This record gives sequence, C-alpha cells and structure tokens, in this order.
Amino acid sequence: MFWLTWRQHRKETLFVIAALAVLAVLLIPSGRQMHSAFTGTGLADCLRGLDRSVLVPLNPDTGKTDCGPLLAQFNSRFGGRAPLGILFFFVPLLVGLFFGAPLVSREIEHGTHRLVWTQGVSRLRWTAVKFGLVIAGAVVFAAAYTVLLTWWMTPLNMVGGSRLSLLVFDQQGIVPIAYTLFAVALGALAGTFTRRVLPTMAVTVAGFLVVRLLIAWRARPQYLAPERRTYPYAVGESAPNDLLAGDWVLSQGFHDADGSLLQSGTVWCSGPADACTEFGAGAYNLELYQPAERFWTFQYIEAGLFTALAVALLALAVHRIRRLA
Amino acid sequence: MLWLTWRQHRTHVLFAVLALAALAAVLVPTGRQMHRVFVDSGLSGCLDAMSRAEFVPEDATDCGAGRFADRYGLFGTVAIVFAVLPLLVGMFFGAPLVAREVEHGTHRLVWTQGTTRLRWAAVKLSLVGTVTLALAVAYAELVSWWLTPLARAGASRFSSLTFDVVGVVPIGYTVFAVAAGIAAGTVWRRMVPAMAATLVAFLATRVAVAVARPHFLPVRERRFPVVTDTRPNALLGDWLLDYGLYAPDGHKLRRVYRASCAPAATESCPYLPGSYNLHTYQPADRFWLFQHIEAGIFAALAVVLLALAVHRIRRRIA
Repeated sequence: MFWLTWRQHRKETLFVIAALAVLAVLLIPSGRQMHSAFTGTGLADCLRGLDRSVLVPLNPDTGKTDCGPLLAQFNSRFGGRAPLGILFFFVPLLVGLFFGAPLVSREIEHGTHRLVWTQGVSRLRWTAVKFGLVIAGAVVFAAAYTVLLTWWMTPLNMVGGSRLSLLVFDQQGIVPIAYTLFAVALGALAGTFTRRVLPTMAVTVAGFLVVRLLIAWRARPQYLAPERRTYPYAVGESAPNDLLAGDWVLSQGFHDADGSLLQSGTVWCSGPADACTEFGAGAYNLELYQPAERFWTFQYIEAGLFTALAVALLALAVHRIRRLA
Repeated sequence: MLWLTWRQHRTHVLFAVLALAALAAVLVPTGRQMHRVFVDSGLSGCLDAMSRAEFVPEDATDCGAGRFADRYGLFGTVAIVFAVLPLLVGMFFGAPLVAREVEHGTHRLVWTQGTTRLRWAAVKLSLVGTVTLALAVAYAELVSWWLTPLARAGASRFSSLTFDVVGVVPIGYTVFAVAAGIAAGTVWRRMVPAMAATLVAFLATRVAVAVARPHFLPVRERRFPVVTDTRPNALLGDWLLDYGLYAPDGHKLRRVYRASCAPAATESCPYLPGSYNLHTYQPADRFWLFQHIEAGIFAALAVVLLALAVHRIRRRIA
C-alpha cells in the first residue's frame, strides 16, 4: 500500500520539489538583498530603538521622525515587492487542488479503488495510508515554503504596514500550513461526494475561496476585542510614532472636541499650537486597532480554526469512504 | 455535436456565470462607493483640470491623490488576485476539453458515429472559445471599471498591479490559458497532468512577457538639473523604470528619485555643479499601445497552440 501510494504520487512529488527549488532561487537572493539593506542602512537599529509611545518628538534637524527618512528610502526601494507575497494566497489552494481533490475522486472515477479493496487491503487501511502520506507530504511542503516566505517578508513587515493586515498575515507564520491542511482535506472530502476529478476540483476552489475570504474578512478582526487609542489634532513638535504602522488599524476617525465625527481617516498638524487651530481646540483622532504584539496569538487562533476544520472534514471523508460502494 | 458539447459543458457554464455574479456582487457596491468618493472629494475634477506640464512647481497640489490611494490601497492589493482568473479558466475549461475525452475514451465513441475529428475539434473549440471570450470580456470590463479611480489616483496604470488586470490584456491571457490547456490535453491526455502543465506554462509565459514588457518600445529619458525649483509631474502617470543621480561625467552616483537644491540655496548645494537627475520611463500615453502589444503576443501564442492541438487531434490521438 505504501509502495502503491508512492507510485501514484511520485510525479507530483517531483513537481513540488522542483517548484520549491524555483521558489528558493527566486526568493533567496532578493531576500538577502532586502535583509542586508534593512540592517546596513541602520533602519533595523533605528526601529529597535523606538519606544512604544503614540507620539514621538520630531528630529529638530530634519523636521521628520527619527526613522522616517530611512523608512521612506527603504520603502521606495523595496516597497514594490510587498504585493508579490499575495500571490502565495493561492499556494495552499493549488496543493488542495492537485493533491487533495484527485485523492479519492480519481480512484472512484477510474474504479481503481475496487481493485485495491479486493486485494486484502481494508478500506480503513487504504484511507489511512493514502491520507497519511499525502497529508504528511503537503505539511512538509507547506512548512518549507512558509519558512522561506516568512524570512523573506520580515523586513517588509517592519516598514510597509501591519503584519496583521489582510493578505500579509496570511502568507507567514504558521497559518499557511493550516490552510494547506484544510485545502487537502476539503479536496479529499469533496471527492467522496462528487466522485469525479473535475467537479471535485471545482468544488475545492469554490469552497476554499469562500471559507478563507469569509474568515479573513469577517472573523479575524474579532478574534480578540480591538483596543482604542486617541491622539490630538495639534501634536506640537512631534508626530505619530512610525511603529504605529505595525498595528492593524480597523477604523480611524477624526473627531471635534464634542466627539462628533468630522471625517474618516486621521488628520494631524505638527508645529506651534497657534498654527493648528483649523478644527478648533480639542479635536482628536480615534483609532480602533489590534496591537502588533497579537500577531502570534492571532496566528495560533486562525491556524487552530483551520486545523479543526480540516480534522472535521477528514473525519467525514473517512466515514463516507467506509460506506462507498 | 452542438447539443453534445453543450450537455458536456453546461455545468461549467453555470459555474462560470455564478462566479461572475459573485464577483459582480463584490465589485459593484465597493466600486460605486469608490467612484462616489473619487468624484465627491473633488479629486476627479482636480485631476481633470491639473497641469499636463512635464515639470510642475515644487508646491503643486497632488489633488489629494496620495490620500485617496492610501485609503483604497487595499483595493489595489486585492486586484492582484484577479490576475489568476485567466489561469483558472484555462485549467477548468481548457485542460479537460480533450484530456477528459481521451482519458475516458469517449472521443472514440464520437469519432465512430459519423463525426469527423476535424468537425469534433471545430465544434468543441469554437463553442468553448466563444464562451470563454464572453466571460473574459465581461470580467475585464468589470475590473477595469472598478479600478479606474485608483488607477487615476495611483502611481501609474503601468504598475503591474493595474496593467495586468485591466484593459484588453486579461482577454488575451484568458484565450492563451484556454489554448494552453487544450494543447496540454492533446499532449498529456490525462486531466490532472494537463491541468498542471497549463499552470506551469501559463505562469512561465506570463512572467517572461512581464519581464520583457518594459522593452516593448525604446524607453524615453528625462534629464533635469539638481538646481531647480520644479519637480517632475508625478500625476502624468508615466511608467518610471529607473532613476538616479548622475555626476557631470555621466556615471551614476546614487539611486534616488530626485536630488535637488532650490536656486536660492545654490551656494550650499552639496552636489557637484552639472550633476543631473535622470529618469527613464515609458510615457503614460503608450498605455493602450502596450496593452495591444501584450494582448497581441498572447493571442498569437494562443493561435499557435490551437493549431498544434488540432494537428495532434488529427494525427496523433488514436
């Protein structure tokens, strides 16, 4: 059974190893370049030296925050690469599509499951070996590419916004492994219903996209209650801390002194207090946000959610296989 | 044959129409909201009235375009997801077209019922081709409309986040992906390998053409001195390919967007006299030309792949 499963999947395994190699060739040089620029320009040290206060004093020489010019320089050089990470949104889906979906449906479509089941291999053993090997392979692959991508994205995370934000959170840490597991389980289960390869793949695409997007858009902002912070419109000789960009801002509003909303987004004015009177005294910004330190908590919550879903789908798939004709 | 093809593909079509409806359900409300903010904030009118000059004064307004682009930046990011729609169409419509029949042996049934191979191929290809073309046009139009405000406020319509998902190129990509799927099916003859081959061929071709894109036409150069009180007009939407500060003898000192000193501060200017900034770029008005070149490349590749597929159907498949 092990040998058979290996024979059935060895081409796909080769394909995946080649894909990983291509990925490594693309990511390692550009990642090294970014990492060396990140530490070499002093940006890493500068960001490490910042405290966590909401407002920081402006540098009297440049009129900017201490790390602002370095950040802008790094961003203009590498910021364009950040969206590339988003393409990895589809990697778990592809694994589910090419490894999960054909797992059961292809055997049923070709009738080959009957051959195996009549050769003294029980259904449960057949399922256990097939699922076990494919899932182990998928998890190893997912872990490998996630480690690579997490390393690649580290400098970009520090400059381009929050690690928690949509489509950035999703490409690093441990969640891609859970997504991959979920995609494979979804494909395997769908195969027991639709029993043909192509419809199974289509159902896998649709199911994966719907679940992933719904959880990312609707559930993730509410894993923990968001925090709130305010800072005034007239910030004097200071500016909002560059580190605030690391927090995941859920909503921003600019309010006047009695608390009514003037506009969405934030507005602030540096300089002497008498130059910043446009909106009256006491105007302030209000932000609801998830702090950057919650990154790992959120990762564990989301990974746990998808792993639990995957286990439920797999259990259902095993149950259905035991009753297939 | 027409009826058979329709029966074989009607769930596909249903699925595609549902997907398109789901896409519209997300894009139409968000797009209307973005268009409304674009007009109501005065940004649209300001961009219409803005200076078309190549250089503008230091303090020229950006119409609030930067703020708008920041606010809707996520939309632009999400748009990159649409770059894979052509691939999905190629994998699910193109790859199984021949591979599934051959894998199941159903092509023999049809060919022995008085339908010639050529007619079989012609009906299947033309029906699937027409449907995919209609789908591609529909979603390309939808996404182009949706991204219009962001493309006008953002850096350039040439940025790969925008260029690849608007205009006519998505149609070219889709036709190519379907043709690649069909041809892969005549070579590998089983569905899953044909789909995998479609995936690889599509990604490789897209990346290769995207790398060649800056060189479709000779780039233009824009030189300007370091002592200046004007800056290049970023709102023109030119596709900036490279930039830097150059010494008077022409060698590149640093890669910076712009180094400048106000004319009043010439004495304290840290740069050598005669240093200059150099931008190489593709002008914004080449946008449609580039769109047509790229769509043409993919359409031509699609024709070649389809000819290969027909050839293999006639000669190679037993």
